[in-house]
Amino acid sequence: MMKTTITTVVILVFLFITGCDRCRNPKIIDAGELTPEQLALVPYTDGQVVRLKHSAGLVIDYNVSRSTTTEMRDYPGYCETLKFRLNKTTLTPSYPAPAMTFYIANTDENYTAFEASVGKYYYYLPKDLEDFFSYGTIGEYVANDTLYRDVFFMQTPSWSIPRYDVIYVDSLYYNFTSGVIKIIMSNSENYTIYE
Amino acid sequence: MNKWATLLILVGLAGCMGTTETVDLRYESFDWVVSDTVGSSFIMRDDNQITQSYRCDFLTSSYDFETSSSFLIFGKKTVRNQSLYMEWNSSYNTLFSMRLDAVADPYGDAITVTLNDLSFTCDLGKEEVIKVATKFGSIEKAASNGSYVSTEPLLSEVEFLETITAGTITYDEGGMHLALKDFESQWGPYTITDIYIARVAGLVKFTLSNGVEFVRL
Repeated sequence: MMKTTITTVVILVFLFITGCDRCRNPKIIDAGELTPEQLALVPYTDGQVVRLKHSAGLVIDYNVSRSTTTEMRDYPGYCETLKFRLNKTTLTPSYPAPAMTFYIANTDENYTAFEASVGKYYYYLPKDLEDFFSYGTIGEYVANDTLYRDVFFMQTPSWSIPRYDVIYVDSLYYNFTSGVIKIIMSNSENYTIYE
Repeated sequence: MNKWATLLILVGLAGCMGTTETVDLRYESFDWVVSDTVGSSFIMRDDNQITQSYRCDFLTSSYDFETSSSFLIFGKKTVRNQSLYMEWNSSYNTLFSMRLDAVADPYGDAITVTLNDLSFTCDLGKEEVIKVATKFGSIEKAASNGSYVSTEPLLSEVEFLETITAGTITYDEGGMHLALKDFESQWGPYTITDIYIARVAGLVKFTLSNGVEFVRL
């Protein structure tokens, strides 16, 4: 009786320590490289200088840095590891103004993630013209005497605005050929593309 | 055997016995505590008419413990130093914080003011900057026999003011002006060089090295 109990305890402890269903050799699923179509969602190139003009007149230079890294994401429940590519474009302002980052990733074999942060506010961006309808108005927009086509307008989602923020990024105008067209703050100050 | 057990118990008891000293912030140090509550905001505008709001995110009070022993485990001494921490975050992610730390005599309480990557620590009693930290490096003075010494010169200064005027508002409670004087050869045009803190109100003005001012409205 005693011997059986000890054996049972030893087996249970062994299973507890080693884990009976632990995934030791997950299957690596490689989502492949980002396609030129996916990368074209963001028009900026590494080393480029982008200019935005504040509504009160100041023109701010943004330095662009852009690179792609390989990332791994584990799915222990499926014993799988997804290997995907993350393309990150950062626009760093030369003056205290909202910094911007755009993320493109093939986090699923059939899905492209396209997200952005403007200042501390976060957006899920559309990936094609059809997708625009679920986000906001598409249309033409004139900024500094230049006509921009296929511009979509996105209001900052309420979940992205920290409670009690008095002045925040209210909305973003963007298209796939010129990038950020306009940023509107909640107090009506704005930043417009300046080419 | 009993002798050894008794000795062990006595050693254990000696280890448990010790003194605890509590160092609270001095009454006058509370002048620097801002009257904001978590969630309250203030607004600042720069010379280029760009406006940001600063939201109070943290307001905490705690005691930090320091334990020292004079010989092995004997004479254990624990010091509890009171500290207060306040933090604000702006629309464009500018981070501003103030921390007050109780320090026993002969030193005064310490205040640490941080605005993005610039941080000053001052002894409120001796009215001097004892540490400056920037993205270019940091310089710190060490406490020694009731004063502060440093191996390299710390040029940054603090000036205590009877009143502070920022824009159109005058803060009658007075405050301090913190001026960065170190690492000057490495400054860029947007390096923050001057910070003005009003008693009770907190951040009321700061200046970049190119002369652009940010003023509280």
